[in-house]
Formats: sequence, C-alpha cells, structure tokens
Amino acid sequence: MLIVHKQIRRIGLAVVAVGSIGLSGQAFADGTPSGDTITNTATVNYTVALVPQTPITANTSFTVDTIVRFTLSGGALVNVAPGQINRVQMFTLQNTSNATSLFTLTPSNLGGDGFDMNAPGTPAPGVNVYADTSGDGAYTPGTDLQVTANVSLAATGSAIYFVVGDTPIGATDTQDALVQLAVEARNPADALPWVPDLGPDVQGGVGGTPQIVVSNGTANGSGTFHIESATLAITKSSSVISDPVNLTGAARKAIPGAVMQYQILLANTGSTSATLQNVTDQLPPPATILFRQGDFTGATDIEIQVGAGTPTYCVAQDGPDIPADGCFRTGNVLTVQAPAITSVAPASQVAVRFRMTIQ
Amino acid sequence: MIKGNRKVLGIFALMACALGSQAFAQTQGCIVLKSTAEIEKEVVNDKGEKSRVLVPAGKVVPGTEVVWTVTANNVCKQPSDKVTINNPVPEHMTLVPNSAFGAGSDISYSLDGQKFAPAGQLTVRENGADRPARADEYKHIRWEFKNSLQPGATAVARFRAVLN
Repeated sequence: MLIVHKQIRRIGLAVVAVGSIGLSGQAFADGTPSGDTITNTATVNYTVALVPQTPITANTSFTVDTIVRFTLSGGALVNVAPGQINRVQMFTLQNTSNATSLFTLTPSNLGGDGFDMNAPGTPAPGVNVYADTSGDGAYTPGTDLQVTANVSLAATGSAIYFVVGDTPIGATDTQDALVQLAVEARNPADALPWVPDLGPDVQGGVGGTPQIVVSNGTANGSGTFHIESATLAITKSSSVISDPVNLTGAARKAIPGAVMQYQILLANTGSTSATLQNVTDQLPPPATILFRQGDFTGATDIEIQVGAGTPTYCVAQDGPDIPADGCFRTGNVLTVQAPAITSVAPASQVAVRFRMTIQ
Repeated sequence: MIKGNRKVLGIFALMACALGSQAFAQTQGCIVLKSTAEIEKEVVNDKGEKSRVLVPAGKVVPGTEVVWTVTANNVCKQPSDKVTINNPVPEHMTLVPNSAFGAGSDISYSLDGQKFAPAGQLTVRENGADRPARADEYKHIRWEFKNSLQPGATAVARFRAVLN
C-alpha cells in the first residue's frame, strides 16, 4: 500500500502541476489584511466494519504577511500663462498594501526643461504639495492644506494630492516646466522606509507575526506645465483717402480738408488666443483733426476686420455706448471693445479703422 | 490465591488494553488526518535547470496561490470504508478552477455546504434566472474515495486557492 500511496502522491503532483498551467496570473487579490490568520479545516468521515466512526478534523493555519505596494497616478500636460498663480498637477495615491502605510510626498521642479515653477506666493523656484482637504477633487487655495509631514493611508485607501506652483512672469511661450511628486512608503512602526523581510519564510500559524514583502516602496509621478501665451503687437498707421485738390488721385496729400484713415492693428504671434478687454485711442483735438462719422458701410464710423475676413462695423457715438455695439467716444478718447472685438486668435490679427478730416 | 489474583490482573490488563485501544479509536480514530499549506516555488539545481517544487507556505500575501493538501492515513489494521474528506475553502481565499484533485475519488462542490454536485452542475440564482456557478463561487469541496483505505495506506486530497 505504500507503493499505492506513492503512486497517488505522484499522480496528485502531476495533475496539480498540469492544473496550474494557464491559471497563473488570475487576479483574486483584494487585500486580506496583514496579520489575519487563514485556517484550513478538513474533516474526514469513514466507516470501519460498517460502523460509522467519529469524524476526524485537522486544522492548518498561516499568518497573512504584509505586502507593501501602492500606485501613483496623475500628472498631465497643463497649459499655463506667464504670471498665472496656483497652477496645479493632480495625483492620486492609492495604498494597495494590505496594511496601513505612511507615505512621504516630495514635490520638486525637474531639470532639463525651459523654466522652473515658483513656490506658491513666492518669487522663489519651488512647488508645494497640498492634500485635497475639501474633498472636491480640485485644488482649493486656502482650504486644501499643504502637506509637510508623512501622510497615512489605510490598506486600500486612496487620496488626491496637488502639486502647485506659480508661473514666473518671465516664462515665454512654448516653454515647459517639468515637476515631480516623489512618494516613498514607510513603516508606521518607525516611520522609516519599509524593510523587506529577507529571513527564512515563516508560516506563522495562528497569531503569528507577519513578515514584510515590499513590492514597490517608491514611485514618482510627473507632470508638465506648458506655456501657452499670446504675444500681441499693436501698430498704428495712417493713409490719405482723399484731399480737396487731388481728390482720391494718386497725388492726394495730407493737407487741410484731407480725409485720413487710421488703422490700429493687433497681431497675435503667440500660441494661444488673446482675450481683448478694449482698445482705446487718444484722438487729437477736434480743432486739429475731426473724427468722421458715417463714412463706412451703413453709415457707420468704425471698420473692424479679423484677418482677411469680411469687415464688420459699428457706430462710435460721443457719449455712452447706447446701442451697445462696443464702440463709443468719450471726449477725445475712442474706445472699441466687446462685442465689436473680443479676442485675437493665435497667428491672426484684428484691424480697427476709422477716419478723420484734417482741419 | 496469589496465582488467581495474577490471572484476574492479567484479564483486567487485557481488558484495559482493549478498552484503551477502543478509546484511542474513538478519540483519534483509525485515520490520522493532516492538512498542509504549501506554495509552488521555482528552484534551480546545480546544473542550472529550473523546476517548480512545493515548499511550506512562508511569505503569503494577497494574490499568493496556496496549495492545500489533506492526507488521510489509515493507522488501524482494518480497512476504512466510505472515506470522505470535506474541506471548506478557507475564508479569504478563492478556489482556483479545476485545481481540486484526489486520486480514486469523486469530487463534488457546494456553495452552501449542504448541496454538493460535480463541477459545472451547481447553479446560482441571479436576476431571476439560474446560471452555472463559477468555480470561484464554490465554497466547499468533498472527496469521496471509491475504494477502501487499506491499513497503512494514505488518501490524498488537494486543491489550490488564492489569498484574496
């Protein structure tokens, strides 16, 4: 029977070995807590000489060991403009260990890029890390607290953190600033990095001391702040439309009675659209040159042309902008604003034209 | 008298032996049951050849596959019949499909420890309809050995489960 026994064992091992093929990699893990005792209880029932015997039970236990691991996700390409404050990279830290762990969070500017972000509220290079104290998944200045010490996450727990910096005013269009959040898991017992237990494997049994297995104790997440800036150039030019002598002929001159056309040209050579609040022009005194009204299509005063598009027009009456078309004069100051003009797209221009008569 | 007393003592001694043996059989039984927890580990021999062996479960963390082996050894001089091993899948563990093995046994499974059936014949009521139970839903395993377990012989039951 001993031979039979050996045969059974051999067959058993062979079948189990075959059974294991193709089964590895199945994901059942959901984090049984470290230190838990797992017990297998087997019971055998049998008869001897047709007499049922008292069932026999056997127990075997092991202690669940500590697996240290976590994930750090997030970091993105975030467009910023020079001078913008509290620019944010968002990261999610999840403790996928089966035990509570401490974590150090170290934010930094990385080298090899175009510029460094400044620490929030300061002119000095640096970035800070903040917890999502408000719990809304977005950085809330003044509410979300800066992280300056180790944070603790329970098994399977997760938290959102923000790496925040101010964009230096001197940063230029298309430059990048790379920032990093370095995370290290630490043992709550001593606040030191987890140390894997390299000693002999111990099954532990009931109430045993868990051994430590470190799957990943550190991780880095990074993000890029990318400057997208509008670069506006404004130029003003004039041309003679007609004069009383040469009329619209080629020899027309800027003589008294001549009609002059002025053009204010806004050109955006940056990589993002520029939102315009208004364009103002201090006009000369009327005794010198007089603003002309009704010269353009539909008896309007101002011609506006975006790029090579079809011009639009508005009336720049003296006083409040009653028709609310965005054009008006206050004394000698001409103002053009929304809705007449609103923005200048990248690699585009907006021309504002009006006419005056030389006195 | 002394001789007679010796006879009586001898009879009592024999009876005690018999009673002791019976008592042993009731409390310990004819079968010594053992359960072990092992994990499969890759080893390399002197020639650099790799193989996988079972070693005692040492560091076990979530995701580790544990091989549970139950042995039933008949220590009596009589055969044991209708040998049946029942083994709930340990708490916090999930049975690996098709991993249960026991030479010379019929293996059945149960979701509740009451109703047992061969693999693939259990159903779960879900959304008002029955569907086949998945192996990871099996919570109990039963090995019914078809032949008598002869004196000195050992029956082996084995399954694999992953720590959740």
